Amino acid sequence: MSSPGRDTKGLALAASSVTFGAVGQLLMKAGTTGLASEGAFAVLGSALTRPQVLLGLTAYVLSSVMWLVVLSRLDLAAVYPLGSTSYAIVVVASWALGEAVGPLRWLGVVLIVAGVVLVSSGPSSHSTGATGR
Amino acid sequence: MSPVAGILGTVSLVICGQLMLKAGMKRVGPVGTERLRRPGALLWDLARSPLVPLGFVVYGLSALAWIVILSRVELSFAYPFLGLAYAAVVVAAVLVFGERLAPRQWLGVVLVVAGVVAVAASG
Repeated sequence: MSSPGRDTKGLALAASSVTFGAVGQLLMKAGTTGLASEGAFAVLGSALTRPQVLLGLTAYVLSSVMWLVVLSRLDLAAVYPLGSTSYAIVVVASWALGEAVGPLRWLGVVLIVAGVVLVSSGPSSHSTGATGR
Repeated sequence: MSPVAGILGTVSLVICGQLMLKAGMKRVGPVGTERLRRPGALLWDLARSPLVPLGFVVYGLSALAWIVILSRVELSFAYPFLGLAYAAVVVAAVLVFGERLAPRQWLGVVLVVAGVVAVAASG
């Protein structure tokens, strides 16, 4: 098992996974507008026929498959921080597309990103190797 | 169901799915270029590690629940809650898989959780 610093391909895959995941979220959100008053199953019935939702789900599945490959190469505690940069990306994109994001929500996102940076900067987050797992 | 309860339920599914996939992939082993060149054999290995397909089923359920949530709340409100999945999975990686975190990495986990609480309060 490689440490994240050495496995460039693993990191590139993780970054691609994050990008596809964020695009998928935005598409799924765009495809569910106007369904708020419906029941849960009615929402799914309508949403799953909308092209944005289907495209969003496809991006989400691609993102998950890439993530699965990433998980096989790097430790969860080392790559999950990289995945969580998606929080900043998704919230900034939501705001750019017209959602009202107040100070408290921005503060939350900043805290999450700061936490992510701290976790990612750990000196030795990689696996101890062959310990019988 | 309140949106926050629904979001927390979905986040729990994400946590379970993530841990099941990781546990399953530990059995399958590293997937490199060589194994990707033989997708049939790789898919067979994945299917034989029951936690991998089960993890995907749980992930699928979480995706459907997420679509319902997105129809009801703003994306900038709902999405940061997945930070809880992040914190929980990192902690579980330590508890279940024996991975190690430095003290400042633990501080990072605490900051992420505090950030999610702030976003929840912004609703």
